[in-house]
Amino acid sequence: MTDFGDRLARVLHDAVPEPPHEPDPAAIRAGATQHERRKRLLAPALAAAAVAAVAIGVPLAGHQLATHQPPGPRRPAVPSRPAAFTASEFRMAPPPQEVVGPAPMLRATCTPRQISAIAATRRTDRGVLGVIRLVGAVVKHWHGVAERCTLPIARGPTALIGPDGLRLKVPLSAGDRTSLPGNPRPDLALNNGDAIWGFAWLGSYCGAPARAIEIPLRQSGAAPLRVALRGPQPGCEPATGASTLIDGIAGAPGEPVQPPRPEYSSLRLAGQIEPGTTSGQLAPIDLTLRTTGSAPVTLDPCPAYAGRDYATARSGGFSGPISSGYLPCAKHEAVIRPGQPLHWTIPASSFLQSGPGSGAIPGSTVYVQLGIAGVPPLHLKTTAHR
Amino acid sequence: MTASEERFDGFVREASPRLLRAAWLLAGDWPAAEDLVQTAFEKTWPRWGRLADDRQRLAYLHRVVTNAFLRGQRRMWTGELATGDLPHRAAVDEADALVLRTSVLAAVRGLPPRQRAVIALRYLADLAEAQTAAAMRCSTGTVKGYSARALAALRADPAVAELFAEERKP
Repeated sequence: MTDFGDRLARVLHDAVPEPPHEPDPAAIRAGATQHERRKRLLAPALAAAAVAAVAIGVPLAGHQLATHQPPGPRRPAVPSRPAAFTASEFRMAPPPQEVVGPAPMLRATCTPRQISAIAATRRTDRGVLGVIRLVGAVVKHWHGVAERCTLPIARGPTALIGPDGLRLKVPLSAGDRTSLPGNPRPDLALNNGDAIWGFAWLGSYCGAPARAIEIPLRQSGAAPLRVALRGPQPGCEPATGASTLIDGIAGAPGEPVQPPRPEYSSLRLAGQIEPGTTSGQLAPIDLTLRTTGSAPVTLDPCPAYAGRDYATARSGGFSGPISSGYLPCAKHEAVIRPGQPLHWTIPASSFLQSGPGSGAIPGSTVYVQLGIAGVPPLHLKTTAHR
Repeated sequence: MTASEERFDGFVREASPRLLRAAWLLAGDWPAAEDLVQTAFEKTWPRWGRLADDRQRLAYLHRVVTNAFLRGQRRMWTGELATGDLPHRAAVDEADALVLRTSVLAAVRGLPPRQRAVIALRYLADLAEAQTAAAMRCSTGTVKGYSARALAALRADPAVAELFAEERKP
């Protein structure tokens, strides 16, 4: 290796962080078994099975969930995601940002039998987080591209279904309404017939295991879809309070769809814009996230933050997104304890204006709004200098 | 649990940290890196008995991770919206090192996918040229070519070149 190569290797070893959590070997083996089994099936058989799975719903779910897992030993704060679901789907989006775009092309609406779906959970602090994957059947080919039917779904899961096919006594919580998360254009995912929907089941649960989860269909009079549910379920720990089902949000596969934890409403975002904002760029923003409660708050689902700036140029007002990202939800930083806030800094960002009269007018006020779902938004302002 | 399952679980725990770090350098964030590595392990488990030893298994894992990454690049897969990493304020005495690391990471991420893969495998996963070639399913000469072009590009990056020059000063 060359001298330059040696130095590069040394810097890379220092620069690349340690992984936040270990993979779960048991989940990997289970996923591998599923892959192998799938490979042996012919495509038509697979399609038929998918439709049949929806059609028979709960009985199939009961078969798959024969081994209900009791709560295991304490795991890392952010455990591995179930096989066939991505880690990002178990995260939480920031509050909705301004997104524009065309209305999706209208497609045929799926009938219940044309929808195949699976749902899986993974353990979190005092409960589980879950994702439902919904796929519509291919109904048309357009210039060689398969088009799926539109998923007639307008809201998230409403009930858990027990082994007897009846709804379990787990109330649906509206969740915390402080500030809801939002993915950009979830309508496109639903329209394109390939979407996911998140949910959380938190608190103590001592009843029969859930075999399926129910998600309503938009068509009037249509029975809700019952989706087989696999994965861990909340344990019977009465000290943690009765369990509730919390509706998440919709998104495309791979997008964060989890709802905020109720405890996130005790978190407060504070910060200040550093001096040095000019007509061309917003200075760095120092931020702090602390809890006003007496209990630690686990950052799982891992929240993302996002924000916008609003300024005045000679040509008129303008606004734009500022840097966004996920909070550092690694093991040692995943819990915010009373008196131990989390600090971070958003780097300086350009106003991204061009042409004559661009940039903030010197002496004018620049406004910034920052948000984390479940947490009250933060409003800051500063003055643009020359 | 069978003996094979136990050995596999131990292998996952032992091999995953280094593999995850290489995948992170390729993919740019932890969720995508975890997906690459989990996919690689899932493909390795059914072949566990056919791969003679841990060296072969590791080589196979690197091959799957690299192929999955490159295939994803070809398909322009954007399953997850990329967001910036959370910047942390560094202590004063670490500022230079932090700038160096950040600049190098940014420069590596700016490389074309195959050159980035060579850098991740050669300089982070510490694979030899022949092992890198096996992982990328190409010849050793091709690896040398990618490596030379990648190093030239990094040397030409003003931030990286300057910082390496600074590092050489006493």
